Amino acid sequence: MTPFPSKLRDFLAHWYSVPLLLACWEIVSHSGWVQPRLVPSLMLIGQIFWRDLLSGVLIHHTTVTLYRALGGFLMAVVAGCTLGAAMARNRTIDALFEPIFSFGFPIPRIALYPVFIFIFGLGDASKIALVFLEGMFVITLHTYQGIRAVPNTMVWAGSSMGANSRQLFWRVLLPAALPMIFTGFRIALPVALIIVVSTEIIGESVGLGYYIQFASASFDDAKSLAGIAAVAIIGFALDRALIWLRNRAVFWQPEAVALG
Amino acid sequence: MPFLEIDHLVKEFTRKERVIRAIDGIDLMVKEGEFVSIVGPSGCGKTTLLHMLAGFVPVDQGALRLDGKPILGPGPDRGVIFQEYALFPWRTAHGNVMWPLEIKGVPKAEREATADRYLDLVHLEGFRDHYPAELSGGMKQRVALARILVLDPRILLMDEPFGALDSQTRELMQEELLEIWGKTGKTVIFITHDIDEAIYLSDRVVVMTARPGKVKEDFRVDLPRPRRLDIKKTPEYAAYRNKVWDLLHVEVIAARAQTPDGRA
Repeated sequence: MTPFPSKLRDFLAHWYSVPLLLACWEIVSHSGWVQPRLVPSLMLIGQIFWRDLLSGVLIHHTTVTLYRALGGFLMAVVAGCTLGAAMARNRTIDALFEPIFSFGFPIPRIALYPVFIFIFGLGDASKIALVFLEGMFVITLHTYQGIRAVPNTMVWAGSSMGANSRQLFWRVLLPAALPMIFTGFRIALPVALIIVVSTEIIGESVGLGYYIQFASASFDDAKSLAGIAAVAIIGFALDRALIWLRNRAVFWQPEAVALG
Repeated sequence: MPFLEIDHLVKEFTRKERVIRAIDGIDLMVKEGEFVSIVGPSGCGKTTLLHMLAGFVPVDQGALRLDGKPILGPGPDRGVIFQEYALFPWRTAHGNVMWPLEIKGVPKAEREATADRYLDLVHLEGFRDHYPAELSGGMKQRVALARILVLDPRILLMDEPFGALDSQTRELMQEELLEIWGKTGKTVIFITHDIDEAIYLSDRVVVMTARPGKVKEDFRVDLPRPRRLDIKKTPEYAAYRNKVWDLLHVEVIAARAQTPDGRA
């Protein structure tokens, strides 16, 4: 007899910290130790979330934020994989870009946002460009490292079995580097969301960052937190979707993810 | 005419701006169908020699010829087996064995059947759809062996192929390799540092000196074939073993005094 189904037990063992945190929040909210407006109750946040979800307001802002984040991310995927692969395969391209990447990596890309506004304006383009730049750094470096880390013997094995350099790339180097490339994606995707929301907070009239910022400026902390909850849910869902995709692409080396 | 010809081969490496001679004039002739083991202390250049035969590493001086034609780069006429298997983890055993046939452009039905036949040869028919991560070390090396035999190479170049296996698996693999060698009649160059392995498997054992690597001794192993593992209990076998041990021991002592960057 199993007194407790093991799947449910595993689920609780993994996720119990989330309701625990929410419970702490709720206790603090009702305790009277702080102003209820600063720590609004979950009920209130939930009500606002639900109201704005049904009215379509949250959906509208979410669509804009997702468009910017995913647009920039997908462009970064294409450019980063191409550039990273080219750098790993070609000495001249490596020599050309490596110093730029080494020099540019420690610069906070967000610091370029004012410049990007100047070039691309306040709307979508400047945000997508910033997401693209940030994502491209991470994805290029991971693709580059992933290909460079493929063991010599695997490449030798391929070439001694008659593969030419194009076949070696598509049939040995790329699949062998795929786990590392996906690690790059997994770092870049939440960063894309962070950048979009941050820049929307700085100056925008649409998007989840704007929603959060506007609520906050109106001293409506509960609404602001409802917006943050929406960002959290989207970020979590995007990461899970990416893990799902990764475990299908890199099926021979599954990444352990609890109850995904 | 010899089948494989190693003609006064020299190889040098540069480490920290010092030129180190890894191989110092090796001459070796191998007949077709011969099983030749090369033993030597670590760092003696035996793996470098194999990599040059495979065409992965360029020759500095001297020449390598297979069947009269110079070896200038990697090619499917030489099947290479690595100690670390070098299988493709994203492919099943069967998929790995099919890989070289896809490169060669063999039609699908034919390559599927051929791969199955070679998996049978290495006794892995029951593990056709297993991925390398699901196979033991011995099984992985058998997949690697099937993967190169499928191209019907002229010669097998094996670089300490059983070095990562435990001693029981190792002996079984040796027996199996002899069985396959008997069936296919391939010429084999077998790099090892294991004296027993070299004697048990080979027609000829080549003992190399410590770096810079030269041929110290090259002799035939006149033990009857087919050989079974219990041949290791005979006095003839023991005599060969003692001979190689004595030859090698001096070189191992010499190699121990060397540093990797060539300072004595």
